[in-house]
Amino acid sequence: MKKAVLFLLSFILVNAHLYAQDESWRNKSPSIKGTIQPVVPRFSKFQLPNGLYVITSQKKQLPIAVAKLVIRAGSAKDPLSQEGLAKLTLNLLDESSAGKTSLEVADAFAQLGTSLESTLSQDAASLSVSVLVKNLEKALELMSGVVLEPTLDLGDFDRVKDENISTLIASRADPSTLAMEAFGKTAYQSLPAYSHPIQGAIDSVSAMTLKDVKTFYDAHYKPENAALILVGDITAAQAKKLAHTYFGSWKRPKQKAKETNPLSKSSIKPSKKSEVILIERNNSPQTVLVVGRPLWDSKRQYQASDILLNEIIAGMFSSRLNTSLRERRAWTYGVQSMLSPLVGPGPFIVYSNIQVPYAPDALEEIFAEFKRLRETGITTQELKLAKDSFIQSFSSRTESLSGIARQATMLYVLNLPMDFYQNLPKRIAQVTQKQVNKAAQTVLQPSAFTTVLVGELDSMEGPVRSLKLGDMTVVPAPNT
Amino acid sequence: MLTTVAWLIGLILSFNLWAAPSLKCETYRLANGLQVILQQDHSTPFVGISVWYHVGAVQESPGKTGFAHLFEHLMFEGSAHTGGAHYINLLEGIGASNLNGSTHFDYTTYYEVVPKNALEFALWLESDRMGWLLVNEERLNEQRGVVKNERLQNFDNQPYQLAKLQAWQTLFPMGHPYFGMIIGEMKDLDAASLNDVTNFFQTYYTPANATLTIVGDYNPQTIKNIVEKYFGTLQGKTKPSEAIVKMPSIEKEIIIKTQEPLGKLPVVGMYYITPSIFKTGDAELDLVSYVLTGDKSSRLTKRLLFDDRLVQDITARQTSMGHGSVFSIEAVLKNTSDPEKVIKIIDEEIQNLANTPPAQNELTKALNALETNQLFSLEKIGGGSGRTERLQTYNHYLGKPDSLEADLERYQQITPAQVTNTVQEYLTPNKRVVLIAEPIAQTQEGLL
Repeated sequence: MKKAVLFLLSFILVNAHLYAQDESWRNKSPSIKGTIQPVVPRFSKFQLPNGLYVITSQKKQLPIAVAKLVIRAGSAKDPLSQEGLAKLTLNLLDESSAGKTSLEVADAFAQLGTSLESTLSQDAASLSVSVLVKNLEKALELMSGVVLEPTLDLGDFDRVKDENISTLIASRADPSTLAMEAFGKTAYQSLPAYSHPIQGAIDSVSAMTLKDVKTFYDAHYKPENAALILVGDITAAQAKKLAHTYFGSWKRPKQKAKETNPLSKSSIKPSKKSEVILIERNNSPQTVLVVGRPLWDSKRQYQASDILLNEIIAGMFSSRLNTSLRERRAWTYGVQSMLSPLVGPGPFIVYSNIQVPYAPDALEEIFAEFKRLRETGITTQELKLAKDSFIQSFSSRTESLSGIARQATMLYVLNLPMDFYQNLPKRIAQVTQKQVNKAAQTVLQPSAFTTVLVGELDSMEGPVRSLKLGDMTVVPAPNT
Repeated sequence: MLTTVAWLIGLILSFNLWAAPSLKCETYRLANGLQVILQQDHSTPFVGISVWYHVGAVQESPGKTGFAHLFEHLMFEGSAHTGGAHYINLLEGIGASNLNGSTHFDYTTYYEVVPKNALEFALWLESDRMGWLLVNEERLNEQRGVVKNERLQNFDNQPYQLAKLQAWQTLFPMGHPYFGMIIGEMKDLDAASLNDVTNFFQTYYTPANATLTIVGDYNPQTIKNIVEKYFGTLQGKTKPSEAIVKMPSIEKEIIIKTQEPLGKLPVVGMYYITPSIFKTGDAELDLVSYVLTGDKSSRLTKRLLFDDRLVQDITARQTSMGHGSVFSIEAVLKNTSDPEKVIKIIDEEIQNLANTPPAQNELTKALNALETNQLFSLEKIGGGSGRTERLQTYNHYLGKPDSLEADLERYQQITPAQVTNTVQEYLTPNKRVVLIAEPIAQTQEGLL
């Protein structure tokens, strides 16, 4: 009680003069009775005779649907020295197809009030449309043309390649892109599938030919390598019929191409060395900072204890690092940590934009926090907060159809059981303090961290070197 | 895609509204003037809560730019009866999602989605900061530092953002309420005092100047009593008078050429002052933006991206605001493209639209896209882009939260000839600011 009074004294109560009546009843917070069970979508999965998986989930509130085709043709499948080929192939797909020119395809989607969105990750290519359910069938017909019968026209190819190169040039201005590319190159140096940028590099893309795209398309765009996700105001039976009609004719290739697995166990060799990369970027009023490592044991990325550890480090707003670097010190607008599950070893990363003079201090604080977590572990209050926050807000991830489609994508790409997300809140609830502390020993072990800073060199080189965080490489700005 | 092409980074909502199901709701006022909007939805056990204070950056006085937003940050830092904890900490603890605050020119919003058993807890929190905000010098300084970092991250360290800010501040010179672009000038943020905080709170953060919206799985039998319990005893001044904002008039085209220190490609921007949100011309200009760059086959995209291959990205947009809007066209050029040539082509296409009404087919595509976006925007009960904000938006600007149908009609009724008339009236070269930002000269090697 005394503490509360002292606490109030140091503040101005902005409106105190207005209140004559006793409002002390407000000191007691309303009780929260019981717990609300998370609302998690149910997925059903079946396979067409050609090998294509179909994953569906019905939601009836609004007459809308999302259709998404996911193909195991991510940047991890880029041939060596052809970084960016998966991206170029995907970008060429929604050009001319099935007898329509590129502009006719775009116009046809626009007539339906939508557009075809494509995204590429390390593990997968995806094409998706968000439509009123009355337009779903027409959208699927167009989508089928795009994926099954792309023209792969030379004129389109030249234009799209030129666009990709231009995008790469533009992205050199983005400090986060520079930082993440350097992180990948260093942290995954022993695993080429994940070490190169998803979008490729200017020189590798410049050297690509239409034939390269055709070869990549033939090797990876096939029904047994893909899943069609249909979610929204549509039953599983309707979804099945549509999938048959528009993707049933997708042929398996006659000859089974020899595929080497770029993520086979033998190709994964964890590195033991910690490294620091400083990238000079002039005129930077903030320094972009990335600290992280691959979790070489891929199973870790879905481990409930690791998910909670990440929440406590900088996953939540109320996390340790955000409280310390933003709320206490005001060095940054925010700091975020994340686990990004991949088919192979996904990374654990801490990311922030720090005001120039404080970047070395922030880095020191991040490693000091890692050490505290390893040595003294988390508190019971932190565990409760992380669990309550995760479990009670879990439903919001699938409030929209795009969120539901995202979960279905993860289930397919990562080969997870269809009830994975149904069970996740229960698994989170069961985690003990001891398990999170044990996870901290592995996820935050002091060796083999990769640290990247992008910004003005003068302000950081000396202080960062003195932190002795590992072998240091300095990359000067390209035009100095 | 370059996300930095966006004129503002998440600070202003773009209003592309269309109607589908009705947003039936109940509206009433408490004795202290607080307005309440209720909409039931029992499909999931959650409730979206949003509190709008009808004050935004337009109420800032000259030399105090960025203040409304800095103040928004302080609203999370603690209030008298909640133990002094940070609001987001308390909200995360009850499993809130989609929670944040957001400052706009016309209003400031605070929102969260909570499990239904935590509804009363969330209202306890919202009412406490409405009536009992706590501030001190230390918190003010901390949040001043956080906000300055927000500006550094979203403007100063982003390619083209300072150039675009310069174009904006040419449209709205110093002293105009739009000048600070919500985020504000660093020196003004430095000058903000505790006295300013107290005055701003007492003038604008009164129950009479706020609207509470609750959407979701609440108990209709008890909700009004709960609202009355937490908000009914709050006191405050009467509703402040509306800001009076005069739009500048530009008589002659202003061209700004800047050396871009961060971006690697040239950028061209054109900015026109246009009618306020929901006023005649506003919806027409939404349609114009679709006709020009709505999809790959629309006019400017086809010509500049496909045919001439001069740009890698182009976006036209009507940014709708309560005291006058801005229509913008922004293009990221290929590194070898000539900005003057791109401007000439954009002008030709605008002229075409000023001379000849668009085909019905072009408008149909725009209407279909608006309809789709509208339905998808109703998926979420709350958060920054859910139904609570939709009700609040209609309520704030039209005085009627359930205005979906009226909004539908304003797009449906537009004829191709009206589109042309609007282009003739507002998108003329002598009434605009043109921005040409070219990267500081670099060697070709420098790009690799």
